[in-house]
Amino acid sequence: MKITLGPIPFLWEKERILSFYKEISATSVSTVYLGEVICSKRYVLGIDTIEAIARMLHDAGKEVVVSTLGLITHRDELNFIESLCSLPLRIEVNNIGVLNLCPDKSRVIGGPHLAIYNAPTAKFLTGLGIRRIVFMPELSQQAIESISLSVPSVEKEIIVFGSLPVAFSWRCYTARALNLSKTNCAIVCKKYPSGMRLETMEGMPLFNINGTQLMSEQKVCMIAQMDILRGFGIGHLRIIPQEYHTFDIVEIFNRVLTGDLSVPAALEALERLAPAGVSNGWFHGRAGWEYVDETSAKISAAPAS
Amino acid sequence: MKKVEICAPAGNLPSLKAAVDNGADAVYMGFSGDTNLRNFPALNFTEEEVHKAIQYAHRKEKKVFITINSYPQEKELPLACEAVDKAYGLGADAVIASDMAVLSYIQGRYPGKRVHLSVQASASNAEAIEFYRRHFGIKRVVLPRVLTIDEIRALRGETRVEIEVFALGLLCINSEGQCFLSSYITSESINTYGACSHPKFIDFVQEDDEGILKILSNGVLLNKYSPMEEVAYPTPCKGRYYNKATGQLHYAIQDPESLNVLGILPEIIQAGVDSIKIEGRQRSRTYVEQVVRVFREAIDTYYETGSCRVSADTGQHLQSLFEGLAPTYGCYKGK
Repeated sequence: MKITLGPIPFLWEKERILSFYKEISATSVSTVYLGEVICSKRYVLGIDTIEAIARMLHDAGKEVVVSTLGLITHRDELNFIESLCSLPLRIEVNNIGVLNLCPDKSRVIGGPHLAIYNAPTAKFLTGLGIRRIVFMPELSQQAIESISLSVPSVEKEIIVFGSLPVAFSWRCYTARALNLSKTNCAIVCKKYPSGMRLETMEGMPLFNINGTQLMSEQKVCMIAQMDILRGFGIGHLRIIPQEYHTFDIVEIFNRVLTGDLSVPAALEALERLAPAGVSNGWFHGRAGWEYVDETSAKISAAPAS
Repeated sequence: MKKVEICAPAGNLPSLKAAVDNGADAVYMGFSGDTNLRNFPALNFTEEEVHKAIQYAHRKEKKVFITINSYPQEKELPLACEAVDKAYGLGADAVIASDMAVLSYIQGRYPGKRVHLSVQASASNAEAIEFYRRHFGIKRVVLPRVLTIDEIRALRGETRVEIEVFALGLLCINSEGQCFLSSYITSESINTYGACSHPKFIDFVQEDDEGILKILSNGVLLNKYSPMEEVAYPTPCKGRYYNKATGQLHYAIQDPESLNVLGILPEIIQAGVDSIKIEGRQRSRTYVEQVVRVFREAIDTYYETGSCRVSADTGQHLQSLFEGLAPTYGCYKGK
């Protein structure tokens, strides 16, 4: 099984992005997804920089994929994505319309924002020639199994650690929190490289505001399910970048894969890196924020801060 | 001139009749169960009722669309396909679907039949609409509530697929089909199960002597109300949260509000839409009757006079149907 690094969900300063990928080039990550998925106003890199980062990562032996927007509402956005598609790189499609812009489907990875809820849908899309699908976050073990078995020869990827995407909107929630309109946002989300945590009125961490996206505040953690995932033929394990500790997380997963770290020890280490708690509820057919600890068969609630 | 169509909701036969009798051009409805997005207790139609509904509407030369727009999981797929068979078998004028497996089934089995792309497919750009047209022959797209009027007008210029937009009712602030807030809290996904914030998960708890009312969903606190506040139906997007970055306690996602485009109806019509959709299959017959009547009058007036001024009384009355919710244009007038 290979470790992949999802696109950076938050808007970071360009310098930070460059140094982040420089460090990533020296890790055990096999695939790196680059680019903006959330908001077209955040295209801080430009095509030349994306190409330069891609070349650097490629030279370090990484597979490089350009990720694209989840929600697209006008032609300018499509035009920009079309120019990304013309790069000699693999493309992660997160909006079904982008498929039209990629004639060579063997370069296409169906991202976690495509609505692939069942096996016939997976078969339909892979029938068009898509090389890999990334499971959407709210699927249960049964759905993942049935989809996996229906497309055995297609590469499969699942998010194994990090904040999960839980909604896209036309509204910028970051701008809203600061009493700004989206039109005049001044890309203020740049000031929040870990987003903005939302807690219930009782102090339970729940969501995270990331521009026009809402994410889970709990970090999904599938470290204890790796054998099941391997059994389904899932070969790619995605880690979502975060402001701190991304490299530690990669290393923990890598050491479990190489047999140098036990799953319980890894879980303990990962829990320390998830202050709002870890989750895997959706996999078990439960609420997304819950964590089912299969070893002790207990369901732990997320801690109030 | 072809007038814009009014597509009205019906959760039962009396509502369907109310819609037809008060000027709807089309009525949309679903079968009981989780094949559609209003899977609530005591709502929706049996096969026999669908038959009666279609007979009634067709006698008055109105159309009936059947929503089969949840994303079925493997074991539910046969049920969704069976619903498609029943819908077309009973004479429905269109099926509204979103899942590619369901759309493929329709395309394979009923190639000549009319299919509309549900809002749940979140097709918000010309390429996405074209994808569904090319592969599944959709004749109409119901747009997700993420586009401004300007963007809708631009889209009109880019596609020949009919366009339907939401005009009134509860407002999803997130792109439909891509919102997992409810399932993150409750386990049941709006997309597969067909109900956001299902009543079975909701608890109302009186906190103390001061009359504070706590609203929980699957044990997660969504809101607290003082006795003076009106209580809106508790979906996670309309909960109150602490933003830890700003220290603010507020409606971080959406204020308690509902969509009402009556004031900008001419602009919406002029953007080139084919149909305006009224939300509310879970609502009463009276609701359907009243909202359809108001929109019928507004649209007829628009085609007669070029404007559709509705009296302040009528406008206010319309909004009073949405208890505790303020009217909004969503993002139609800007983001």
